[in-house]
Amino acid sequence: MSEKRTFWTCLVALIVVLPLAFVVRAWESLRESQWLAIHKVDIVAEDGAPQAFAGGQWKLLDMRRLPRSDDARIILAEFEASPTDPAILSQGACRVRLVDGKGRRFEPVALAEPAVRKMYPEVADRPRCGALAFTDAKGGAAVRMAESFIVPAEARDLSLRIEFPGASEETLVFRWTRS
Amino acid sequence: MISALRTLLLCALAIAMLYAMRESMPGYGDITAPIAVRGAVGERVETQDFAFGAASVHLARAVKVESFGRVKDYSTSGVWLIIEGAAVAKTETMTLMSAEWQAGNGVRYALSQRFSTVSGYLPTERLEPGLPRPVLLAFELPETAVDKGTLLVARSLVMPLAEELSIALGDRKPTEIKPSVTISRSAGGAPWTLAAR
Repeated sequence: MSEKRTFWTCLVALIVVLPLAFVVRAWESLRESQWLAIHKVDIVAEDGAPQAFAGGQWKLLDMRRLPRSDDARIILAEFEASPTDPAILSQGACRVRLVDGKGRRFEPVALAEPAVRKMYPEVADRPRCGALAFTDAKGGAAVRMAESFIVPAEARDLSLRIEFPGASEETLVFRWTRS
Repeated sequence: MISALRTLLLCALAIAMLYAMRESMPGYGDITAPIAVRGAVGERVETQDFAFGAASVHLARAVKVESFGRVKDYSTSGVWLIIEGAAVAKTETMTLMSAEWQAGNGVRYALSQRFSTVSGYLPTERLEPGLPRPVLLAFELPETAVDKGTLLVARSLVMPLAEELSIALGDRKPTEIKPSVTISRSAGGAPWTLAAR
């Protein structure tokens, strides 16, 4: 092969190899980036329809809107899960969030709000979503849970998102159109 | 002879260039440093995830905190810089964990840990999207660090490439240092009231 030809072959190879080296090195970061991330599937259930998810049959019982202040409301979400596969349920860690029509994500409050304690004391005493709630579940009996959220008064089109990393890759979304 | 000299010169130039590139290469900390969003006292400064506004700034030699009938004194050999403001989350529930005071000479001072029990203190305040909360910040500083200083507020100190608010006091700097400022609980809108004595 002539020297000239080797030169051009190497130059063309460089144009291919350099970007390739960049992609190979950055592959992990690129895969984690927003555009290329494999979007997890959402299982959507409307207004209290039961839905199989993460080793249980889940159902949103009620989503109440309680007063808090002029510009804020408490959303009290009550839901239940009947374990069909308790082994799977006890593996994961439950994460519950409330999402409104504008896509804003609200985390549940750790302590029940005074208004919830006063108006719905039996709901306030329900366990929060987590492996602990399922430890006492006997033979497929439904476990009732409750979470409360603080949202702006104008928040609409609420949906409850339940993730169970460890037990399921998917996300369960309860849409609530009533009230 | 000339050709050898030219080669030597080219080599020296290449070495100099490589050295300059090596010296000017930014470190990992610089590449992933927070992105500054600039603002001023008295205005709402926005990032993608949250908004913050510093409303008023006070300087004092001592701070008294009144809580449930008890008064606690906080003295300092320097000066207390107290900032009243408001913060709101925009996309998700969060807590603004990082607030620093950057003095004119670049020295950074962390938020004082001594007021973490005062209600409304920034790192203890949980922010819900769309619900603004009044917040309080306090820095214990040498007197020389107040002038030409900047307030830096971010979600966390360790989030790479996150946005960080950079609020300059400018001419809104308080001119006099008050002997004492009292922070007491309030039943009204803000969770505290601040009075200078």
